[in-house]
Amino acid sequence: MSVFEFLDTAYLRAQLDRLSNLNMTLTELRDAIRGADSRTLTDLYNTLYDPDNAKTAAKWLADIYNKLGSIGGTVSIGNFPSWFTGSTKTTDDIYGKLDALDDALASVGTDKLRATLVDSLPSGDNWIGRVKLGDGSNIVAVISTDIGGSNYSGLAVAPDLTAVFAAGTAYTEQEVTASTSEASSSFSPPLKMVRLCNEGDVDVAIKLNGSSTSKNLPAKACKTIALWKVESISYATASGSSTLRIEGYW
Amino acid sequence: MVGMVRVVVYRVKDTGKDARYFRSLARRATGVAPFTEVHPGLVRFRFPGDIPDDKVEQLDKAMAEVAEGVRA
Repeated sequence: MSVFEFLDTAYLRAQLDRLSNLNMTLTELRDAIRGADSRTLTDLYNTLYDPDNAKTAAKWLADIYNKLGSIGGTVSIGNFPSWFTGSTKTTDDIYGKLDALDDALASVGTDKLRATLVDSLPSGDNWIGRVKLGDGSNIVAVISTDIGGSNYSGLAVAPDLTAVFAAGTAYTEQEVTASTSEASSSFSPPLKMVRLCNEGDVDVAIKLNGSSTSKNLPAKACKTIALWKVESISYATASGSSTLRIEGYW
Repeated sequence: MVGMVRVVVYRVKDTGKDARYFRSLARRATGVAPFTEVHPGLVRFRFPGDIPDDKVEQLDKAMAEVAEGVRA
């Protein structure tokens, strides 16, 4: 029995034909894979990790990110602000953190401005022209006026009466009776400056220009309202009567 | 308002009308718009300069009509 009795001669012939058609050596195959620059697997590794090759690195990072995203993983990245914690995972988380940071900065900014204004004032009284700001602690009081009460603060510039009334005398004076029934006086053109003196022994409630709220002018007290057009003055007492002296310039 | 100022005062019945109203009334009657102040029972006009008596008489009539005004 010959060995050829155990071989499929047709199959053997076909395989020999395929080998005869293979016109590439293993060396040629290796060179074909490595390309003209003879790149190696080490070259590929170094390229992927090369920080100077931004385009390649970015694509690599994007690929990694997409891969992790597809499997629900997380990415841990350093060099971020302290508020960027492990729980900061979504864009909503980041927006929320940024909003909180924005609010915090706004609050700090406002307080910083206030502190800058107040702290920049030297101790003692400070003046802007002829307006005294004190030591800055009374800035709130200085913009709030009250014709009643024991303290009277007002932000105003004292007028030069010589200039205001240079054209001649534009002064009027009238005493009226204030009682429990509200009465009023009116002026046309409006008065530029008014001095009210309560000459009686009971307080008088004063309303200017039809105001719905009244201010209390204590007994035996005078108040001056400057550089504010006064068209009408209403007056009344809670009980009893008093004499109110109205002086005004128009 | 340099020079003479004529002051005309009326005792009036309280009508609720304000100084702007009476100033307009005085301007129509006299041709001059005076400074006008209205107090309870009293209206005072301050004319910037003298005005003829006949003009004041016209004002008297107007004040009598609208506020039973009588010159004080």
